Amino acid sequence: MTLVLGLVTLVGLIGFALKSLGDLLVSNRPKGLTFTALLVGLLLLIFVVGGASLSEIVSGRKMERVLEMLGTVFLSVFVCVGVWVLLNLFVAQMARGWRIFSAILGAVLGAGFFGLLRGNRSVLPIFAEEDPFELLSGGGWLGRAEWPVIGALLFGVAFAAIAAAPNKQVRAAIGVVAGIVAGALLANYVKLWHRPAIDWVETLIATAVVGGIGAAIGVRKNALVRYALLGAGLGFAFGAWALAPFGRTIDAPWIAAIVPMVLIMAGIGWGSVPTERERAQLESRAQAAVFLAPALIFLTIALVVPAIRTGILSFKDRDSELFVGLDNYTELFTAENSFDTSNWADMFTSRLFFVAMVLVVIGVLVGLITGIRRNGSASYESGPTSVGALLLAVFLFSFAALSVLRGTFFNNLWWVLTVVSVATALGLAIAVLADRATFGEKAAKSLIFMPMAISFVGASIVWRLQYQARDIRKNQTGVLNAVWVELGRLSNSGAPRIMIMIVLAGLLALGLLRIVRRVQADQPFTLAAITTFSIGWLLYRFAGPRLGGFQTVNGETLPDTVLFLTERPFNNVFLMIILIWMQVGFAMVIFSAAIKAVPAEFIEAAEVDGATESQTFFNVTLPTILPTVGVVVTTMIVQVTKVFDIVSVAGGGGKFGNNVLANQMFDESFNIGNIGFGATIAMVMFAMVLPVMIYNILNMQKGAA
Amino acid sequence: MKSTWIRLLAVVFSLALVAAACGSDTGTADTSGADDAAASLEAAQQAAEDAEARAAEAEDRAAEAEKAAEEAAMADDSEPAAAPASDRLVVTVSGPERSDAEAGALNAALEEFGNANGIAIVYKGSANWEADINIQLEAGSNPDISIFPQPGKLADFARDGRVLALPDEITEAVSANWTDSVMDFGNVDGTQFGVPNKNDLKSLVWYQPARFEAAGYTIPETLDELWALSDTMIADGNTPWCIGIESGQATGWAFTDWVEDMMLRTTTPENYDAWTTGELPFSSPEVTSAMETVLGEWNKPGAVFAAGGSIATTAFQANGEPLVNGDCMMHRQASFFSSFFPEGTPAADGTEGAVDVFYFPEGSTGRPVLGSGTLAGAFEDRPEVWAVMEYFGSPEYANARQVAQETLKRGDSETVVLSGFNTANLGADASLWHPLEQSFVGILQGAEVLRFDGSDLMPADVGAGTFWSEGTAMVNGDKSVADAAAAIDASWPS
Repeated sequence: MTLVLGLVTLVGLIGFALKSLGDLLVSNRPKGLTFTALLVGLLLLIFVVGGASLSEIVSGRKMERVLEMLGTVFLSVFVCVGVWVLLNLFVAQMARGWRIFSAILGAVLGAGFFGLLRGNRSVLPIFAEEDPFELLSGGGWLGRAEWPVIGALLFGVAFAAIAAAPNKQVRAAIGVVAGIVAGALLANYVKLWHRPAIDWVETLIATAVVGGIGAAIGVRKNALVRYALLGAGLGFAFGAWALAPFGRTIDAPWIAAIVPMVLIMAGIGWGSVPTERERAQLESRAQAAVFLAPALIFLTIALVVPAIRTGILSFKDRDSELFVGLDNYTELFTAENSFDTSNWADMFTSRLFFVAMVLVVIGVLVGLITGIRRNGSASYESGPTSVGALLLAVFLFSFAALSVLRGTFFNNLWWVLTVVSVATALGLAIAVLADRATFGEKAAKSLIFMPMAISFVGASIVWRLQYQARDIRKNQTGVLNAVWVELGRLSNSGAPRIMIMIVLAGLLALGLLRIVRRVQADQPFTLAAITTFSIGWLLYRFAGPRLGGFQTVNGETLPDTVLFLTERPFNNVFLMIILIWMQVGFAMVIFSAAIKAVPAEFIEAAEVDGATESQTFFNVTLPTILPTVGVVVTTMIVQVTKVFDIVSVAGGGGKFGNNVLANQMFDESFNIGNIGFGATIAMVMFAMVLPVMIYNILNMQKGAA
Repeated sequence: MKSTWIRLLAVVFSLALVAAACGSDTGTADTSGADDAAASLEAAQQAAEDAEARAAEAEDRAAEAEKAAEEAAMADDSEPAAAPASDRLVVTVSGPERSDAEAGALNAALEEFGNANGIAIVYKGSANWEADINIQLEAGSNPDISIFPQPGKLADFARDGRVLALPDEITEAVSANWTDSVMDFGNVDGTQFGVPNKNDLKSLVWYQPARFEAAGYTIPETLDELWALSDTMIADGNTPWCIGIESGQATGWAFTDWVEDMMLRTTTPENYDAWTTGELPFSSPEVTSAMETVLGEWNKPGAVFAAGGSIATTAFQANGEPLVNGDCMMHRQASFFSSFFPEGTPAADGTEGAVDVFYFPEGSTGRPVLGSGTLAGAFEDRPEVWAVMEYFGSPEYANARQVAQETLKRGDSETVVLSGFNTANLGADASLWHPLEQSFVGILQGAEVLRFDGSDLMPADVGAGTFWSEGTAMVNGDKSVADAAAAIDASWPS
């Protein structure tokens, strides 16, 4: 069948393509060209997805498979569209054809309800011996149509009669009769081991509770009896069927089936038929619901249900069998590898800490000097250099802290802090610089943006190759180690070492000179200071302890490699660089657009006032694009919190002290098989990004308003 | 213009509907020639499902008829007694092996026996064997025999009374072909339930005989000789070992294998068993000393060639090439490692550059082998089932399967190839195997103590969790043995 459908679809598609091609030839409309290209592309795509190579398409092999697939696609699209159109037509009956609407509604509900029971094999076949639908029962699901058909007839007639009846007493009576019939039918045919042994106390409590809720809703809706009846019916059904030991009990199911059916049907009957106006109102609301339905259903299936299920699983044990309360959460938060603070005191002896201290001193000093110059008194005056130095100091302090604190949570925090701040700062810097570039802006931006197009796994593999080390007796194949080892070899050699030292000394002198000049000119010199410091350090290493470590193998002294991916704690940072590399492009593109949107008058006004470029940036451009910075930062926080692929692929599966939450979640769920614990980590990650998400959504709504 | 489009659409839609009404579902089953096999299989499955559905209906009707005698109906469970129409005896077998070569050879070996004894034996491999067997037992549609990849599951089923104990005469007949150590895999609380039929081994050291000969090294017979050999190699300027434990999410397993082998050589098999069940903690002197022995050897200056810079960053697969290049002299790894040598590397054929294996030498505890083994367990008590069970444990099965599997693997090759099927069956004819695998079979047959990979027996939190991660930390020097052992013990699920 699908084969024929596929053929028809193919012929149709080709027809469309030919027709639009004809249109194109006749009227030369560019729209036709796009359409044709799209159709041809779609056709090719279908073939490729269907598993046919180009030669196979041409020669017609695998045609059947492709046709079958096309047919399936067509059928499912057609069914979906059909259902949706029918639903629209159906809802459109509300205002004018209330009885037809009621009948169809009853029929659909009845067919669905009975079909569900039959589909779950909860009920026996009614016409076991003589199947009046034998014509249909040739094969497949049609043979089980008896229950849905009976349900459709029964409830369709009942709903239609209720809609047609003159007053609520008659309507309720019709409902009761229908309820008895349906209940009796179910009671008689429900399978032996699906019959409940009713616990009367529980059932009555459930009836009272749900009935009470129904009554409360009913009071608000001005239909007390109706909602109370509906609630009581549902409560009774729940109490009798769900709370009772459900299995091979031999209790007569009559009460359990008939009572709730009668209550619910009477509830449906009792109450007034909606007036014309109410129905029109109902119709417009229902139509909105029908239009929303596809998206809502999709979201529910793909997002809401899994999320809720994960939440439930997080309270269960490793096999998702028993509820364990908060055990998983306590375990996660008390586990040694979640928060490991055992080495925290090392923070104060780390080099990062000293550099940060020095930066603080520089920042404060520069601020004070500026203050004395400007105001003549000993006050702190902020400027780019002092603020830059202080910000860098804060960043380094956090680095120092997070490099000694271990565990997945601290690692994740480190990731978020580093990647978000560095990627944002770099993105902003590049956007500003590119904006001022006189040529090559597009090319540069494209290049920087390109890593965004690479998959995480791909980028991780590429970088793993850069970081790779080999045994020191062999040539290094990783770029970074090749450079490092070669530098090490040079620093340990004779003449080349001296030459390099001379060059470095020259560079150092130049750098120092530049710093002095910039200080004299009262310009920021952070960049110059960092460069000069790096050169000085390199010179020191060349002159003193040489570059890198050395190992003696078989009497030969060889420069050691850097194990970028295993040496704790900075292997974490080398992994972060991969993500920064990927995210800078994203930040840059967004900032670029925002900067271009800053009104030119602002800038001009600042220039007229005699502001320097950095003053213009910090006092005009940055405040204007601040909302964009917020969006970029929050988006990235969410992204980085979820980081998984990089650690999994390049980080040895998180085994080198570089584990993060997402990787631990994967490991627990799919390698170790502790589903409950994995779900718990997922929930905690969700909770971590939730405030950021809420902030983002609120911001968006503010923007829309 | 617009109405034409709509009309065209309408035609397509109505045609589709007509087609949908006229066509039948079976139309898809007889499509292409290439997919015929798959299609007929599908059809067969469909038929089977239909039959099942009908059986269920019949059951429903029966229940309906016996409404008066409800108790009786309740006692009667499912079990649609589907006796085969023909009078030929049928035995069904399931198992996890499903590659063409493995399942094909298994089927061929069973067919040989079946044809000779008038039994139709059907083997069906399942990628999801572990989940499937649970469901099948639950539904009563279980096979007569299943092949268990590891003893834990068999023991669970045996204690639940699902797997049947072997009749004494079968136990007797089978145990003549295996060492007690192998038979013990299938022994649950003193009763024999499983029949061993296939084994793999890990206690192997790969080396190049030509290099050993050139340097004048001899194959060590004891652990002490091995350490002495390693020292000699370092003194000669050679690197004894190639080691790498990186394996993505599974990083660390190669280290755990070393530790397991060391446990078997430095302490009793009883302690090993206690260790895998959690009774002997990692922080006990037996285990820490085994781990320290391994790390001590690895950390000896000049003892290890790590192709990836350090042991922890070297992928376990990356050790084949340096061994062939002579960067190291030995590599301890399981039998499957034969596929990780550079293409075209000869194995055990006496040529220059060929790789071979020797047994990872014994310590003070007999001749232990770290390995694995599959076990056949029976669910149904019929004479023909027991006949097949006995056959699984016989040398005839081992030989027939080896011949079939080697033939399937060989393809166009003129010489004997590696079959991938190894056995500890004492009666197996080793000459049927490739020279390399002859060594495997020889080592397996000579094993006085055969033990399963311990990390597979431990709970996953440890065996696939902390034992790997803490082991990696130990190897990397990030943690001391004592700290890591304490962390592993803490992670053992209570």
